[in-house]
Amino acid sequence: MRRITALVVLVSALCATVLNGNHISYVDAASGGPDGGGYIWRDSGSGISYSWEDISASGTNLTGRGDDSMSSAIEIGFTFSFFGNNYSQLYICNNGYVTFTNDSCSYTNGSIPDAGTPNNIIAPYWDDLYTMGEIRYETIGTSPSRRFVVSWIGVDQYSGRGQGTMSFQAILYETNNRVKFQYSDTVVDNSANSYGAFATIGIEQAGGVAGTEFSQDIQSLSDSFAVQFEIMPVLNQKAYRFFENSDSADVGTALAGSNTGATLSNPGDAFRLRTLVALTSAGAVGSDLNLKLQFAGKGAGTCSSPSGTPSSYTDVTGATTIAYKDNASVTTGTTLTSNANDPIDGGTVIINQTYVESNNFSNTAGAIQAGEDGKWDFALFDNGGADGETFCFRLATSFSVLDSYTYYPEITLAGGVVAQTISFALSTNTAGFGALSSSAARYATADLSGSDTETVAHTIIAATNAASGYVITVTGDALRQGELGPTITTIGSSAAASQPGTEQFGMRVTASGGSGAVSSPYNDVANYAYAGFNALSQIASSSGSSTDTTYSVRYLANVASATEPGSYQTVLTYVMTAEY
Amino acid sequence: MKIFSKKFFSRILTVAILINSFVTSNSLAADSASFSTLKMNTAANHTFTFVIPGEVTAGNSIVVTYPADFALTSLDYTDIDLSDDGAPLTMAASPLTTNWGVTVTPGARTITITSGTGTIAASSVMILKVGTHAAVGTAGTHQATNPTTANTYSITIAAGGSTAYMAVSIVSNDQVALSAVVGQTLSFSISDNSIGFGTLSTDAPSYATGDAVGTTVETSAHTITASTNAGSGYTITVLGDTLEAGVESIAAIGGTAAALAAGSAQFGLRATAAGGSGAVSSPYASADYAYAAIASATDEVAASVSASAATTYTVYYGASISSQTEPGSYSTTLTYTIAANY
Repeated sequence: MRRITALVVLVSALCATVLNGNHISYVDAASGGPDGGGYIWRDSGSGISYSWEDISASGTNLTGRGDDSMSSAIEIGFTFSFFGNNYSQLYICNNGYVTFTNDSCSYTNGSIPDAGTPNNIIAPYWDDLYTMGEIRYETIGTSPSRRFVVSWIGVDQYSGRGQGTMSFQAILYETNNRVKFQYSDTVVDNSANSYGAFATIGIEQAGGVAGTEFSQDIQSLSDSFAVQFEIMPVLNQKAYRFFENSDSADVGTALAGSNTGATLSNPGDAFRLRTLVALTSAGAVGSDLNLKLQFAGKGAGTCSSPSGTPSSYTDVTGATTIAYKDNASVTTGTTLTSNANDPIDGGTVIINQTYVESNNFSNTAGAIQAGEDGKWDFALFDNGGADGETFCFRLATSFSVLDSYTYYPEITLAGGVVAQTISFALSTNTAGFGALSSSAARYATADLSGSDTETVAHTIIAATNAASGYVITVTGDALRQGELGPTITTIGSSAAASQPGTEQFGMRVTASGGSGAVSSPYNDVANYAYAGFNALSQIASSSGSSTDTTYSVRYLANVASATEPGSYQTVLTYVMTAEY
Repeated sequence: MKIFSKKFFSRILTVAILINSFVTSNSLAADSASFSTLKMNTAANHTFTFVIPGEVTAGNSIVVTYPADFALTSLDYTDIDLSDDGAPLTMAASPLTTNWGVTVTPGARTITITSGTGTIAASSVMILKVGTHAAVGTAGTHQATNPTTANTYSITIAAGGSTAYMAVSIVSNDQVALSAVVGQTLSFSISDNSIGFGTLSTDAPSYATGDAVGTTVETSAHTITASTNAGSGYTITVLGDTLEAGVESIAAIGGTAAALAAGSAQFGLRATAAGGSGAVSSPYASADYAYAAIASATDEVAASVSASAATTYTVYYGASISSQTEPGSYSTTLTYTIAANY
């Protein structure tokens, strides 16, 4: 029986579509699903753009159609996956839908899903339509991003024939297998019959047991309006790694190992976060993921339940406590440059995405197939966070959290953990005794000529903030001729007075400033020692952190009358080790 | 796989590290990073001492990450030692049962040590050696190379759920080259340049004295003092004829030492040595006398085979005459020469 009268004018169309109560991670109020096949819908209120595909001149006109007529099989032009089945052909029904099953063209729009025929349908406007206007179809674009477009242009309603027309279209997308409905004209003369008031809008699988219905018999449409159906992607935030910032699409040195929290060295430090997001659902995500980075203060809680400031995950902006860093030489959206230290996810294929310095971002650098990971690179900096506070990061869609989080990256700000400092310097790297004599002691000088008067040959300056201070050691051969020649006897570890005429090589050290002190036996007020021959010998240390301590080093050499003539040399190596 | 001999660190060292670590550690304590040299662009052995805050479980890793500009080229598991509370762990190319697999990634400047089935308990004191001082099992043959730029660098070690940082100061040069010169020395002196026997007699041998009067009691005439730092010592020779008076002479004893005998014409000398390492040469070292030099040929009196402090040679001269010896005034000049052997 044909519907001949308008029913009650319905309002609140958008809100009338009820979410099915399943876990929703990708939808908001202007969206719905998923259904049993994993499809959701989103409309223009949820960011789905309207952009009419005009095939009025180029598309194939479905001629000879009559009331309730079904076309013959039409080639799609690419393989289209619909509720898990692949199709290369479809049929166009005069009554505002296409089907992958050659069936009758039903004029009675039912609910979706419903096991009764028609099934396996894509219905932008399933209603009892008549014969005005045109139905055109065309495959446009290039692989792998082709689109099959079916447009109902200027068609009229059976019950309101001759009382205004409507134009709408369905678009089937290659690769991501999405379906989009676009409406350029949904208004007829009788407003009660307008806006899809007596149409069913949705998609349904072959058996009719699953489907996603946008609306049925309510005024849910408007002009320049779009509804998109797609497999809901299941996303999991996975491996990550922190790096030093660099003014490029590459990153600096890794701040820590993969999946390991890092600590910044200084307040205000910039840093980079690279993290992976896995697509664990079937299908693929083309290039229109709509993601954003959020942060939260970990506080005494955990990253899955933070309790710091902010205590709930908050979108990162250029002004938040952890803020996006604006690097001068690279712009957001630039495809990131791979780094050898990048996080990995076992053997999972990783699709490099973009450098990001503002929300929101997408996978514009490449489609992500099921089972693959996308990798993004975030430029961030400490924008005045509390000293030592730890912040957690997560990615989210425009509407909700991801389906799961294997890792929450954690960064700890500097301040609470003061950056380690250590400084060490020798005033000169050469010193000489000049000509030694068996009749008088000789002291090394920086000008290599030596002196008969005790002289400081060089200084060593050391400082650190290490809580347990530091140790300075010396090691090196005795004064020796060549590599294996005779030596001038070293004094050893017991300090001894200078004895001209007796072979002696030794040193003594004094300290000033800081809290460092000379170690025994080099701290004798007059006598000399040297125990660094073939061993590490401690010459100085500090038991705690210390500002600059200047160590003045003196070298003594005496020879006997029988000491072999020739040139003697040695190289002493001084090493400072901080103890944190 | 490395084959290990047991090697334990000193108990004192271990205790000291433990105390230090627990004092300084909230998370993974980065107690120290000790390098054999801090000189930039120089191969060095690196030793890291740290405390694991949380357990390292089977299959997990300890990851050492060097900052940019360090070079880990050619390092492999043989260049790595890791001990757990003093007990060495077995390093290998890959993790398997108790073997810990070592992966060195020069490009990333990381050393990843992954457990097979082994674990490390929380609070364990770890000592990690990177370089040729990794002597457990197959000794290391390669070293890490310090950065080419002097600066402070922070090395990280991630393990047990935390990350440690160890700052080291890389300097342009951490060495002092010392030089000295010891010049050649040779000293030589004669205590008296004029000695005499006085009047010779057939009744008894005479001995020359410094006062030129002579004596019949054996007496030294003078000393010679010699020293040198020449590595091969020195040689002292004597040159000169025997005692002569015109064409007449008193026969030199020659190169074979002989006792002086009254009534026989003899001229000779002997010497003794004291101090240093010099020694009287034969035949002059005898208790008897000899003299083998002539005016045109020297004879060695003393020598040292190595550098020597001062040696004092005491020289005795003896002469006797026969009843046929022509009267007259006999004299000679003996020239002593020292030559150092460098």
